[in-house]
Amino acid sequence: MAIHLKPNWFHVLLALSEGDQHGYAIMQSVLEHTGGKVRLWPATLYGTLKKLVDAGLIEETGDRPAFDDARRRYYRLTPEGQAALAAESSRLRELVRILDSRVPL
Amino acid sequence: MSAGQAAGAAIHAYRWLARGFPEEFQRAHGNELVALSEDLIQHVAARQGWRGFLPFVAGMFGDLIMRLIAELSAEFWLNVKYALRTLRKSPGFAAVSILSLGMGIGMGTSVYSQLESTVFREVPRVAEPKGLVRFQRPAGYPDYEDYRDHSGQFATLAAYLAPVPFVVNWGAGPERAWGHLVTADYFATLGVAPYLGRLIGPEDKPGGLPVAVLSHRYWRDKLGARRDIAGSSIRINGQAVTVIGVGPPDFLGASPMMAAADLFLPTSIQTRVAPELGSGALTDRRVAAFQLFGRLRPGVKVSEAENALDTMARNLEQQRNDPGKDHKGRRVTLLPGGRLIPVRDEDLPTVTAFPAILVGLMLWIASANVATMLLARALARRKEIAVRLAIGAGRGRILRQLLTESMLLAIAGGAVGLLFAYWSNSTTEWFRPIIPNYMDLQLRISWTAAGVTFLLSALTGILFGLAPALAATRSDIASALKSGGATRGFRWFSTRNILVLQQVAGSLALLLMTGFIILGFQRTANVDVGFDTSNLYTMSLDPVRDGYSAEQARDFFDKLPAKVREIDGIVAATLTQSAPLNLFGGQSIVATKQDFLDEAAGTRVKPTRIEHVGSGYFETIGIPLVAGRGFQTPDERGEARVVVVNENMARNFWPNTTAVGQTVDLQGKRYEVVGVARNVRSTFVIDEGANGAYLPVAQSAYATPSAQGVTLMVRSRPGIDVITAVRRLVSSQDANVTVFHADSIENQVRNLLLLVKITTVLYGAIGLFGLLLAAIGLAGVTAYAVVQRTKEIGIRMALGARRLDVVRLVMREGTWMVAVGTVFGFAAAYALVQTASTYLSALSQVLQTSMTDPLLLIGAPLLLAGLALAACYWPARRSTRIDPLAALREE
Repeated sequence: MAIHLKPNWFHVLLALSEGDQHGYAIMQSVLEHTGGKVRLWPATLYGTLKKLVDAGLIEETGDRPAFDDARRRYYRLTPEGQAALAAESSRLRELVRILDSRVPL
Repeated sequence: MSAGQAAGAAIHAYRWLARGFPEEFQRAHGNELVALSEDLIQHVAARQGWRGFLPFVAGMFGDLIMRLIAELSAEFWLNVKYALRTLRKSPGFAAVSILSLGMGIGMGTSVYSQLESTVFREVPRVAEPKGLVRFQRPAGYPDYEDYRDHSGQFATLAAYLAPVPFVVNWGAGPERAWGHLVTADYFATLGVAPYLGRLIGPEDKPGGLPVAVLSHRYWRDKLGARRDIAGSSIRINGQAVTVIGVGPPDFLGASPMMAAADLFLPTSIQTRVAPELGSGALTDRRVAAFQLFGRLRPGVKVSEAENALDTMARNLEQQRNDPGKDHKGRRVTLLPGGRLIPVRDEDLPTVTAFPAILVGLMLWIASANVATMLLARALARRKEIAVRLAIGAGRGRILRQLLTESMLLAIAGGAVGLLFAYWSNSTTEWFRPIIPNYMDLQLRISWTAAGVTFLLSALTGILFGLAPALAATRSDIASALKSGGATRGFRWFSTRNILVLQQVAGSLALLLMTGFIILGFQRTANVDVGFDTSNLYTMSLDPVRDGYSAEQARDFFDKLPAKVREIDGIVAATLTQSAPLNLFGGQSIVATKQDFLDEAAGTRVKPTRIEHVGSGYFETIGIPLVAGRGFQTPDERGEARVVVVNENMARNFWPNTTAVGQTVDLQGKRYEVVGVARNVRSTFVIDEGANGAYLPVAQSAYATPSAQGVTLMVRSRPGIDVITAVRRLVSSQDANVTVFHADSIENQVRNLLLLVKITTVLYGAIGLFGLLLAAIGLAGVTAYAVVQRTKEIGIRMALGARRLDVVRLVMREGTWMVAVGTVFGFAAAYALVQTASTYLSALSQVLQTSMTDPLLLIGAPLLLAGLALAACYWPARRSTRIDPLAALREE
């Protein structure tokens, strides 16, 4: 699959690959993964979520913990989302491999 | 205030802003976004206090605003795409809306731009133009000196003679140019700085070297923009004159609109160079030839100065026992001197009222038309809107969608309007061939006007695009879906009907006003000139300005006609001071309005146009003599005082006897009538019924020719290049003598008609525009009424109504609208005519047409009604094709 993922998209997909999450959790998870470097502010986060839903890479899930804030929505990766994440990951790995072999850091 | 309290305020603001997201986004994530943000803000405020709170909140809001912009612009582009698709589906509606808005915007912009470039414009390059005043009437030079030195009103007062023709030769052969003869304080009063060298000033005293200043454009176009021009010598009127300087760019003198000047010579110059200054021009008070302008002393009001000068002028008249000293009325009127057209502030409305009304009407009709169509469309689209609402589109989304459509129309209309304004501004170029000393007005689009008219039409679009959208989105979805639009009976005061009514009324008012002008111009143009214009040529000569002495000039003109007649193919030739059919310049008609005294009856009669013509004039022009004879060579020598009168004058003066042999007093001298000539058209303005008298040109006139020189008129056989032949003949006599203003009379007639044609086309287009829009508006409304009443018509037809009954039903409303609109239209036209009455009454005199012309009063409404009813008939006919079964099944 040749979808080139925007950095925000990639981070969100990566966060969701660990399991279904709601918006706030995705934000926290991205912040942790990147060591505090990438902060998805709320409006950007939901803008990204909407685009990912529109693109069919993630979807809302009906499953949610029993005692949770009713306003929260949970999202999960679709098969297309998983494929896109996998493709992007291997693309990045390949890039890193090339870099490692050429540039002694 | 604590960070916690600030958090409350921030949350409030955040919520408010978040409401700006498109509905779709809000429905999907709005609540969650706000909830998450609230939690975050409170959390940070509680945990980190002011230090962490401020940058965090800044980040939150920055993020929110960026996202808002992104979401809204994404929606906007979707709206634009959707709107374009919708408009493409109804190209007729789109085209008519864009064109009508475009015409409205374009006309408004171009008319205002033209006003700005003329009426509202100041004389180019003049310092503090608002401080300049000019005398309305010219004055004699001694009077000028008295006003300047003894009135005590002026800080500075200058005078000039204009327009003055010069023959200029800078080495490439003689050529005519126009200029001013100016007093020493001319340039200082205007506050003009030289571009090169110096300008005329007090140092240019009588008896000094003859000097001249050139206009920048003359220097650039004719003298190759030579920077070393100052100090070089050129020949003006055959005399060597030193060029001392060049004026600033765009400067063409103190009155560039009336007399653009390319040359400026001081009044102190020798009369050899400027014969205009001879024969008492500088010493005789009665030669009122000088234009006066100046700056008042600080603190002096214009009205005060005017009164003081008026009193002074009266006293001067008493002192020298002037024959007109007991006349009533003002002697001195001051006008603004810094304006291109010297209009007083209080007279500006008079000048601008008529164009403003025309443009206003057009804009009004155009906007009303678009509004009508948008309204009708919105009603027809109720079903579409209801469907979209039903499947979950937000109301705001639909409103924005409809707004985008209106805005697109307005923008496209604005673009068309600008194109139109550019085009119409370029049409002033058409006038160039008929105006001799032309000032390039450099018409520019007035962006203020473009902006205002554009906003006005955009506002109309928004208002009338939105109002029905609001109504439609508020409506009950279920009923809208079912019937596709409410079926209401006919209501007089529905928005739609009012719109159509005032559109019909506005169109009629526009038609009446433009029709008035068109009719007038057509009548002017259709008058028979009274003689055969083919193979007739006119040329001007001015040997005195080419350097001849009076004797030499007389000798030259004595021999010229005979020599011209010797040229092969030339039938007749004559020298004359005036020639028929002149527009602005060329060979002017000496139009002295003289009161003839009919001694037998002892009564004053109408003014008479006097023309000074040479022997052979009537034969050459081809004016038949009804009685008596024309002029012969002895008449030109002034051996007997003789006059030829036209038929009008013969009839007016001697209704019961033959005119030949009678005597008449003209300009204080007694003349004997020797002939009666048929009436001919003399000027652009029709003068049917005017008295005309022809006097022989006195030989002495050749020594001091008028500004237009002496005219040679030649009639030839067809197919002969008369102008070249005469030029060759004249230059073989003397290469220094210039032939200028050479033209065929046919060409002059064509130029004259060009003006008529342009006016007709322009006003015709405006009238037609209003007419078409009214018809389209009515057709549109009727068509939508038919769509709405499909069910009713279907039932009627099912119950046995015939086609004719249906047509009649549909047409009845249209007919009523036209009838009522006509009444309102007359009322509106009447009111508007009152507003522009000053302008129109002046126009009436020129055009000899009145606003109460029956052709106009009956013709205009008939034309409008005919077209409007035809426009109604088209949808009415379509209504008869309604299939009753299908109409009823649709429910």
